[in-house]
Amino acid sequence: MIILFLLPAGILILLVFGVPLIRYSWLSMHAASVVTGLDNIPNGGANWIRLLNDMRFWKDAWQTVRFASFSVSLEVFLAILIALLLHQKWKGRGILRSISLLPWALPTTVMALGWRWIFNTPYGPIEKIINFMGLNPLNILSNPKLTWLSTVLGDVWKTTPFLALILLAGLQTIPDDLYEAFRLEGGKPFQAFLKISLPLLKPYLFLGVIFRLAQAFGVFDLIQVMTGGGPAGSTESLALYAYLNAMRFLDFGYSATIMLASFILLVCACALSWVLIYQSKNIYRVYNS
Amino acid sequence: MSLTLENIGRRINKNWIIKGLNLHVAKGECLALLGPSGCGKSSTLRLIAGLDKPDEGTIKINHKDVTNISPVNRRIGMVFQSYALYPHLNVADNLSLGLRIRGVPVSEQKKRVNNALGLMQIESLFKRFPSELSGGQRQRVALARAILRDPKVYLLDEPMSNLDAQLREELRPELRNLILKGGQPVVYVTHDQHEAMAMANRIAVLKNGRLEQIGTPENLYAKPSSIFVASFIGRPQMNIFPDKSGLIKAIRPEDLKFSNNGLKCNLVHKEWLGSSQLLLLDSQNGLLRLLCGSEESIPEEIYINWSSEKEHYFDSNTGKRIDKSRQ
Amino acid sequence: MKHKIIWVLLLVIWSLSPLSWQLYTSFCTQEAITHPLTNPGPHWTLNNYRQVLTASPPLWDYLFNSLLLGLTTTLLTLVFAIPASYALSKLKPLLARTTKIILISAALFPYVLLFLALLEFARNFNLGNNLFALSIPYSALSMPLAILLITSAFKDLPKDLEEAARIEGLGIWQRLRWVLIPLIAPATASTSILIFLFSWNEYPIALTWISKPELLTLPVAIARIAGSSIYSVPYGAYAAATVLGSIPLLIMVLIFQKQIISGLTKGAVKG
Repeated sequence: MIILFLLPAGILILLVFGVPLIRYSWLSMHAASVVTGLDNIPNGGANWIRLLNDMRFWKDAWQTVRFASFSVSLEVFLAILIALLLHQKWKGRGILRSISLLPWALPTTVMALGWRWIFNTPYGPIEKIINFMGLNPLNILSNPKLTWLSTVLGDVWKTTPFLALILLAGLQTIPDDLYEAFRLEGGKPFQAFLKISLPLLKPYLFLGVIFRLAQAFGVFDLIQVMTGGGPAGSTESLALYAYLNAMRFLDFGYSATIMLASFILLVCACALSWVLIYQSKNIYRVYNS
Repeated sequence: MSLTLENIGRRINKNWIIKGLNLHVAKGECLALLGPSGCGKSSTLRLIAGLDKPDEGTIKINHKDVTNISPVNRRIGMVFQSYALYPHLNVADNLSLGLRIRGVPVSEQKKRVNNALGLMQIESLFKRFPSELSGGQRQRVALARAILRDPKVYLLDEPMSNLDAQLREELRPELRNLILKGGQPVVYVTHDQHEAMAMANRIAVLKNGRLEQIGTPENLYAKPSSIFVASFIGRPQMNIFPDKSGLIKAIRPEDLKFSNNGLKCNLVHKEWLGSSQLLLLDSQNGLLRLLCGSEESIPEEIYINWSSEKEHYFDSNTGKRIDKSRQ
Repeated sequence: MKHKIIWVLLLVIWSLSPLSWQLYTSFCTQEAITHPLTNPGPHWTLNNYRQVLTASPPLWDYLFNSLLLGLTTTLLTLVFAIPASYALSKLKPLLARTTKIILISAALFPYVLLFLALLEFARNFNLGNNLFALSIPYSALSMPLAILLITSAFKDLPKDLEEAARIEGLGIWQRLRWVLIPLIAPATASTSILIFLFSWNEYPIALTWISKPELLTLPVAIARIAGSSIYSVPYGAYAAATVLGSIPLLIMVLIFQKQIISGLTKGAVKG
C-alpha cells in the first residue's frame, strides 16, 4: 500500500529520464530529418556509421573531454583551498560562505553574457589591462587557442563553490582529535592534510568529481551563450552539436545518436575517474609486483 | 483488567526473536520484563502495543482477543525510552494531539489535559516545548500523555534509562503510585535488575526471546531457575563455580562468611562501598566475591565458610536448577 | 593557514569581481564603455536600467515569469516528493538501496541530453509556451535530489515519534500532517530552495519550450538580449539586466545561506 506513495513520483521520473533514453535508442536507428519530411524511416545503423566518420563529432568529443577534464581538475584544486579556508573557525565565516556561494547561484546564461563582456576586445577589462601594459591585444574570444580556456574559466568560476561546499562537509566530518593525535606525534600541518584530510575526503571528492564531470560533459548554456561554439567551432561541445542538429539542421535521428554517444562516453569517463580515485593504489601495486 | 499473552512468537526472516511466550499480568500488577539487550523484551512490548504483529499466538486484554486490533483501539498507554514527545508541539498540544484527532470536543480536551497535568504536578509547564524541559519533566509529560488516554494497559519501555541515578531513585515510588493507582496491568521493560526489583510485583527474565523464569523478586533471588538468572539477579554477581559432584555450584557473595577453618583464600582486591565492602578473593575454586559489613575487620589469613542451605546447584549441561531435596 | 586575511581577500575578489564589473558597466554611459580613458562625455547614467525596464516586454515580466515558474515547480515537486520519500524511508534495505542508486544516477545525469525528447513531449501534448506545463519537466528533473534529501530527513527522525502517534490513533495522513511533515520542515526548506534555484536558472528546456516573448524566463530573456536589436547598445543594457537578474539570487543566498549549504552537503553526506 505504501508503494502507492512512490508511484506518482516514480512515473514522473521514469517519464522524464527513462522514456527519452528509449526514444533516443529508437530514433538513432531512424532517419528523421527535413530530408524525410520529418517522418521516421528506419535506416539501419546509418546514423551510427555517420557518427563514426563524422570528424566534427570527434572534434567536439575531444573538446568536451578537454573542457571537462581541465575545468574539473582546476575546480578540485581550487575547491580544496576554499574548503580549507572556509573550514577555519572565525567570525566572518557566514558572510564569506555567502559570498563564495554567489557564483554558483547565478544563472549560467547571465554570467555567460558577463564573461562575453569581460573578455570583449577591445573594451573588456582584460584587454584593457593588456593594452595598458603595452602588449598586443589577445582577442580572447576570436582566438581558437584561447577561447576554450576562457570557457573553462567561466565554468570554474561558477561551479567551484559547489565542490568546495561538498569538500567542506567532508572536512567537518573529520573529528579534531585525529589532527591533535597526529600533532602529538610530531606531524606538520601539511602532512596532516596529506595523511588525514585527503584520504578521509575521498568519498566526498569522488562524489563531487563524478557530479561535476557529468555536468561539465553536458556543458551547454555557457558555451551557447558565451561563444556560440566558435570561433571556428573550437569551443563546440557535444551537447551543443546535438542541439544544433536538432534545432538548426532539424536532423532528429542524428541528434539522438549524438546524445546517446555522449552518454556512453560519459559513463566511460565516470568509470575512469573511479579507477583514478579508488583503484590507483591497487593498479600501482599490481604493476610493481 | 488483565493482559494475557498466549504462546506468542515473532520472527524476522527465519529467526525467531520471540518464541512460545506465555505471560499473564493481573489487575493492578506490575510485571517487569528483564533481560540483556537483544533478549526480546522491547519486541514483546511492541507486540502488546500493536506496533508489530506476532507471527503466532494471541494477545488478550481483559480476556478479549486483540491480536488483530489496531494500536489505537487497544487503548494502550505507552511511555517510550526517548519519551517520544513531539518536538514541534508544546506540552499541552503534545497531550491533546490524540484527542483532537479523535474529534474530542475542545472543552473536553482541555479538561482532560489539565487533569493529567495536575496529576503529574506539571500544570505550570503546559506552554513549554519539549526542548525547554529537563529530563525528569519530559518523563512526567510522557507519563501524563499515557495517563490521559485512560488506557487499559500501561507499557513502559525503559522509562528511567535517560535519567541520572539520583532522579531515578526519587521518581520510583512516585511512578509506582501513579501507575498502579488505576488498577491497570503494567508491563515495565528494563535491563536493570535493581530497577526491576524495585518497581515490579513480578519479574519475567527473558533470554534469546524465551522466558527463562518468572516470579516475584524474592522468588527469583532465592531460587534462580538457571545459571543465567542466577548471574542476572542480585548484585554483586553470584559466585558460580564447578563442584566436585560434576554440578555447578553457586553462592551469593553476601552468604560467604569468614571463619577459622574452611576454604583458604588470598585477598586480591577490596572495594569499600560505604555500608558494605566487597572483597575479591583468590581460592582453589577460582575468584570469589565476598560481601560483608564495612565495620567487619578482615583477618590476615582468610578462611571462608558458608551454610550449605545457601548453596544453589545447576546442571552443568543445561544450566538448569537442581533442587537439593530431589538430589 | 598563515596570512589568512590575504586568502580571504583573494576569495572575495575571485567571487565578486566579475559581478562588480557588470555593476560598474551597468551605470556607464555608452561613451564611458567604449572610451574608458579618454571619456569625453558624462560617465555615469541610469539609461541602461531605464532601457531594460521600459523595453517591451520589460524585464519585470521575465522576473515574474521565473518567479511563478520557480514557485510552481517547487510546490509540484514537494507534493510528489514528500509521500515518495516517506515510502522510501520505510522500504526494506535492499529495495531502498536499489531505489537510491537509481535516484543518484538520475540526479547526476546531465539533463541537457534530455531536451530533444522533452521537446517532443511538448509538441505531442501541446505543452509549449505554457509556464505551468514547463514546471512538469522541471519538477521531474528536481525530483531525484528532492527525494534523496527528504528521505534522509525522514530517516533521521526518531522512530518512537511516529509510533507514539500510531498508538494515539493517528492514521498515515494524520501522522504526516501533524507529526512528520512539521518535523522535516528544515530539510523541506533547504530542498525547496535548491529546487527553486534550479528552476530559476534552467536554460535549455526553457529555451526549447517557450517561444512567446512575454512568457520567456529570465535566463532565456537575458541570453536573447545579446542577439536582439531592441537595445541599440547591448553591453550597457545587458550589464543592467545581469545586475537586476542577480539581485533576487543575491538576496536568496544571503538569507538562505545556511539552508542552501545544508541542502547541498546533506545530499553529499547521505548520498
